[in-house]
Amino acid sequence: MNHLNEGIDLIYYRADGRPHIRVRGEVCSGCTEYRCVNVCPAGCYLEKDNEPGISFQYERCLECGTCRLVCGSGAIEWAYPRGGKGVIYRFT
Amino acid sequence: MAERFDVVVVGAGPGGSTAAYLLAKAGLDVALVERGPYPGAKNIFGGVLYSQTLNKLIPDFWAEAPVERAITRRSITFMTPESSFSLDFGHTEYGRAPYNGFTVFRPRFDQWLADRAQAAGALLIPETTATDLIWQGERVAGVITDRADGELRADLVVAADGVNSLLARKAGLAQPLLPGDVALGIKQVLALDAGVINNRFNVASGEGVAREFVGCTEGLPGGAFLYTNRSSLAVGIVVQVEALQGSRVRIYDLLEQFKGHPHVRGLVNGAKLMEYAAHLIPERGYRMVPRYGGKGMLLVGDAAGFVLSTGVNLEGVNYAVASGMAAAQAVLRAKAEGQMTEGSAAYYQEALAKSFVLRNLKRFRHTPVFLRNTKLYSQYPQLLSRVLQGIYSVPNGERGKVAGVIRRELGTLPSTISFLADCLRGVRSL
Repeated sequence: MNHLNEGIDLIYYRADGRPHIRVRGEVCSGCTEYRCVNVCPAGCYLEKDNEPGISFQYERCLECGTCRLVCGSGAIEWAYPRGGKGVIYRFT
Repeated sequence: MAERFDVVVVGAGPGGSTAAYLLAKAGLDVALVERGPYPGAKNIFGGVLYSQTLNKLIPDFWAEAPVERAITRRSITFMTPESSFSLDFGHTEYGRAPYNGFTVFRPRFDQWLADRAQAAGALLIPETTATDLIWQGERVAGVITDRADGELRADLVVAADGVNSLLARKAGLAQPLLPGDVALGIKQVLALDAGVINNRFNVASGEGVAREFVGCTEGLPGGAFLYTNRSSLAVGIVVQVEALQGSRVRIYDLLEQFKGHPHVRGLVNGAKLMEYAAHLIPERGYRMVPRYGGKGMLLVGDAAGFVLSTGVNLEGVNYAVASGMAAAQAVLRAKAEGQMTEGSAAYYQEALAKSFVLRNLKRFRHTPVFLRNTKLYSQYPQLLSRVLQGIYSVPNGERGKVAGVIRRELGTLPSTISFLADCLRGVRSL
């Protein structure tokens, strides 16, 4: 996770004040598959310690859309950030 | 901003900008909507743009486009944690016009291509996300954006909004993506002095290498890549999402592991991290292909799933450009007949079928299935390594001939027959 954070810290984001992804915790608290955690290349999804469910932070999202299509419980409401907001790549 | 255009193109990537450029050049009123602050801000790819298609659109584009290095060497490497075996091909012809491919930075390249569309008369509308469609009866009559009064009306919408294309799904032209339809790619750009790159990769200034690697993904279907830019390296991992979703292996850990491999470490040593990025790649090929047009909308590039995975090359930008060209051609033909909205979809389908886009996707339609065989990513690279080790290791004593080494190693497989069947499938698929 340290090397991931090093990469995330370098990315230029223009913050959108409101989340473009919403995770409905009440829908997925019983999930034991954690596919969102397994796939997210930015570490936005983390398993909670000692309790079911996940914690989620959208601010580091790379907008790849992988979480949206692996979630089997339909708990992820996914949209693009508003125009001009979110991740801004310079070199890729 | 409730304006009216002949065509609204959503997404200023290579497919969208190509369509916008050609349509504007022909005199149509074109809006080019981009959700990033500038074209390319949201776009990533491995790093190699194959040049022949773009050269048809803009001859000698390399003289003005922001290219990094001409790719003159290609290789594929089969790895185990302690060994590697490479097939490496170079040709001096790839270092001369018309070249074969270039590394580029998408935020720069995509801006350059969108600039061409603007110069031809297209109106670029950046920082604008298309959130929904405007319907007029059964047909799409424009897009709704997240700007105030953000309706853009048009006779036709070109959806070039990428692999996640929300517009294609809203129009009912594409099925929802499934984990089996896509691969996840991550990439790091690492700064390294141009002279050091020249020495390390044995290339002249302005020339570079594109290397792909198999056997470095803990058995998950996928691989790694390493490309040279002018004064940086692009290094990344691609893994099929269907396998990744059930695995505790983290894709970013695979990348660190790859960079630490004894035969990669020296190539990336001292290179400084500049950027990290991730993107989905449509990889299902011909079978996942949705309807490409209808209801007043055409799909181009990743939005249509136009990526060719041949097992050796992963090509996307040239397919985006080619489909953007086909879309423009279809729209102009239909408009000339005075039935732009109704006629475009059929002409687009026809143009795609005639172009390499659909012909190649169809020809390689079995490849994605073959490439899901997990043995390719662990068992077979290990087998190859043992065979090569048996050939190259010099014992103090008797040694076997090559055929004998191969026979011995095949004997260690659970089933020789299934190995031979996989070989046959490989020959047929690749």
